[in-house]
Amino acid sequence: MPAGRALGLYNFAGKRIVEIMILAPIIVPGLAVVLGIDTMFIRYGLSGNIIGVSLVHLVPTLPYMTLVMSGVYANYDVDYELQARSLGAGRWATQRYVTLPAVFPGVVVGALFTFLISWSQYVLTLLIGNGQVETLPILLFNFARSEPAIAGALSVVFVLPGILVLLLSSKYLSGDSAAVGGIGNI
Amino acid sequence: MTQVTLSGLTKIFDQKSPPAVDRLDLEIESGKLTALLGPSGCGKTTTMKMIAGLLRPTAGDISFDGASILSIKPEERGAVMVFQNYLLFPYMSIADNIGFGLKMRKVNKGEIRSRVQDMLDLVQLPGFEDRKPNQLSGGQQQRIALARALIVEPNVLLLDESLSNLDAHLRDEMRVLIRRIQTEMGITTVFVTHDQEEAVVLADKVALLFDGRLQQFDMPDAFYETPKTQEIATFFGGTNFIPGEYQNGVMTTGIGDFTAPHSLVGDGAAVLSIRPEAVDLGVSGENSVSGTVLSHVYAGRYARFQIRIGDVEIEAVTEPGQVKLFADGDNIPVKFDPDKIWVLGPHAMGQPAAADPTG
Repeated sequence: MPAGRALGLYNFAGKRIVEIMILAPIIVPGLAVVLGIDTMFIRYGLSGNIIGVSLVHLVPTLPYMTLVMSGVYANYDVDYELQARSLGAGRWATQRYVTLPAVFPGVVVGALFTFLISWSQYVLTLLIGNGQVETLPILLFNFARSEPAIAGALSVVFVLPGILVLLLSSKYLSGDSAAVGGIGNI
Repeated sequence: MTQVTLSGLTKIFDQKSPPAVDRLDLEIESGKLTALLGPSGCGKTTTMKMIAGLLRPTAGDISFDGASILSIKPEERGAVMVFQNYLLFPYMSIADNIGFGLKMRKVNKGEIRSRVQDMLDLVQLPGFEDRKPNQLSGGQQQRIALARALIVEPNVLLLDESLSNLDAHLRDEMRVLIRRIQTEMGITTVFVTHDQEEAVVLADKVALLFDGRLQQFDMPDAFYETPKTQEIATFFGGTNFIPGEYQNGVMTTGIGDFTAPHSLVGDGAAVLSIRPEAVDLGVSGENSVSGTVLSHVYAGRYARFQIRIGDVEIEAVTEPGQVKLFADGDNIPVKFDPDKIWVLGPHAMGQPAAADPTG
């Protein structure tokens, strides 16, 4: 979120380069990334456990969150925060009463995106988790070979969040609750 | 009641460009309404943000009642700024917007509610508490923004181009409202505007800024009657300038000699300045020269003449009836009333005014 704010609000030298660096995990094939990460994770004891898997899921999801937030902040007027400060709100109160409500729809949409991408990760989970961390896609893959009926049931479960997310985010993206400056335009 | 003092206040955004605000010294009187006037980009809003604590000065000091406030956080300064585009929090009701400052000060809910009511009455919008900002017109939003600032009883009220987004009629209403509230509550108020008429109408005192530098800090009428430079005179509406030589109260120019007792400068090269309204047509005698009517315009409440005197062209604004007296091409006497002539230094137009040592 702070990265999104920086990209959306400010123009600075090397902004394009930072943008490309943030997008890099999407451009580079996941397998290539994870093979490098895996050797490091094994060294630090992060391989084969839930912490390592959570960390590695940040690789493909962070760019999306950052991009969504930078879109939100591009339409955001920082003067609202200055106005709040001037009226007597401290830094934290300003974040709580002014910034957060204004960017909240963006946070929700970003979180949903992040969830969806993480939800459908197979390769990253398998490699870093060493097969010991079982997420739904891994389960699904296992059953797909032996028990087609269970695999079918699981795939319905697997599709559900996607549909839910679509419904939820369309509400937020419609602009009804876009608080400050037409967040529906992203 | 708070007196605001700016001393040597400077803001540099970018080392490569000139300072946005350059060594500004200003004494803003307690309980008065002071206008910061200047064309856009002259540093007025920057100055205001520095007073509010929303921008850190590059150099210089700001003090309230003699005590420096640079280290005090914006939320504790009691200098509340009202932004040009109102900035009402869109997801809050009008009552929550107005009560925001009190909520931040942990005032209890009952008291907030009753003070919000008082404020709505003050800005003449009773019954608006449950509406949302986007249901209000620009003028109404402006009033709510004002109420939201006033409710915290600020030491200093800072209004940034508050009226420039309103149409002419609403603007007049708001001017009256601001003036009334300011006088009633006696809040030290700084008002930023690019409109010289607004500054003159509203303010007790006007500070004129060009390119981040203070040009003149004076009573409103002084800008018309005794401007310090040609630039200032021009900013306050068209004026006739005639260059020449000033000696012993007499201005010698290419078109004749004029008695001119009021002068900013001593003997030497100078510029005679006279407002079009002060030029008398068809009047001979002292300070009178002969001119030719080049053209004229009838504008209902007044008439405007272009007159050629020797190699100088001047403008005269007269009563509308005078269009019947003079026709284009007529040779007529033109009089400059000595009391209305103001003699200025010989700075060429566009050249920055010399720094005022008394400042």
